[in-house]
Amino acid sequence: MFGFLPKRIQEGLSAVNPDKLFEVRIRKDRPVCVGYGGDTAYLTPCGLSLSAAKAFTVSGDELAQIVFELCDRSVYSHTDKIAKGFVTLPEGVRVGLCGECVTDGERITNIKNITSVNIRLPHAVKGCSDKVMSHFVHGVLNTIVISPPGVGKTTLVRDIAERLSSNLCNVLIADERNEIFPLMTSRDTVDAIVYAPKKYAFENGIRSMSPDVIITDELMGRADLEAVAMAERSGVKVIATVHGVGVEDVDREGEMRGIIGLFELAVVLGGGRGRIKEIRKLGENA
Amino acid sequence: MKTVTGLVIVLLSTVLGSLYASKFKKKRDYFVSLENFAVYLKREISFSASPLKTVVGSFRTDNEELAPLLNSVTEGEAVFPEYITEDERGIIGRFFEKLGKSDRTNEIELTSAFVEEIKRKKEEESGRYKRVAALSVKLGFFFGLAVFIILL
Repeated sequence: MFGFLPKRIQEGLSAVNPDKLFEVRIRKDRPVCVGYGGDTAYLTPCGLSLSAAKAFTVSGDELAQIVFELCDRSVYSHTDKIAKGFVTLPEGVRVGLCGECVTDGERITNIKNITSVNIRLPHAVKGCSDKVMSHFVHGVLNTIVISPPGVGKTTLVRDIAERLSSNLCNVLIADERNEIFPLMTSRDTVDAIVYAPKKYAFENGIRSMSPDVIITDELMGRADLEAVAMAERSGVKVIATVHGVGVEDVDREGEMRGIIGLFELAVVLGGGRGRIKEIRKLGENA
Repeated sequence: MKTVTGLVIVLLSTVLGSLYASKFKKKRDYFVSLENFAVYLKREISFSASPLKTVVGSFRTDNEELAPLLNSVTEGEAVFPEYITEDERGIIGRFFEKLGKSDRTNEIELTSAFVEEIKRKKEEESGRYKRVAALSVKLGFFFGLAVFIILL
């Protein structure tokens, strides 16, 4: 999985328990940090440390080589994803990128001179959706999962997808970053449209695959909300995630206003990785 | 006896002439295959943006001498047959070194320029082969014939 990193960093990571490793952050000429079991530490040749003194640092040239290797030595085949700020490995590992954006009018066409790389490692947590699934006894509800980044939204919806699949429900994954689908083990009745904008994935998925449920990650912007509304008008249930800290918070202002009205159930994560803080039936409050 | 020996000499010298020409044929064939690869690569980058590993893995060629160069795309330094000159190594090596490091538009431009360069080299080598092959076989034959006549 870490084959694209310099050997010395690979060796440092081999001394770390992979089950607790959630992210690796590499910044140009700064110490390499890792997210480990909910905390952050520096990565050293001997494993983790709270002191930056012996931590690995990565030069600009090394960072460029990391991106080159990350793209399978074919940057051109990942330019569209790089322009969106990420590359996803075949294992569903999302690698976020920061640097100088190259623009063509208002459109970002590429990111050059990469200065930061954030490797986010997904972990399948079997049964983490038990509490949510208990609300689907009489059928799947349109559900929105709300949490800040890195708390476990994707893990939760992935588990929901697997549970629905094991109940022979036709699930379509609209997987814009290819993070949900690759890690799924139970996917007999699951179809996936990956790397496509939600509007395209929803429209074409509904026409061509006739799903019972569409599962998607990270709603962002008006176009995504319109795609959800269109699916619901078509009679397809939607389970989606959004960044936020609470039900009222995500619906407050801007492009996401009205999002809560599209859903029947809200699941709020917080207070620790993967912890469900609140499950609220939205129809009852309306 | 002299006749048989003379005929053998004619035959041998003609074969030697064609063996000498085969070196040029190999080089021409190498550039033909390399051009085919470059055209295929350009098409794959343009239409499917397939990664280099996939492109190299799916490219089929009968020219075994090209394989070490293609493998170098994903596994380190370029390897060439001995008949490729230093200049030619420089041109091909620089292309493979730059390959894969830029966006699609730049890669297409880079590969297009390489296709043109290799096409030019291929035409040069084809012309050279035609000239050398015809000449060396003829020279071999006439040398053998001369020896044959002297022997008689």
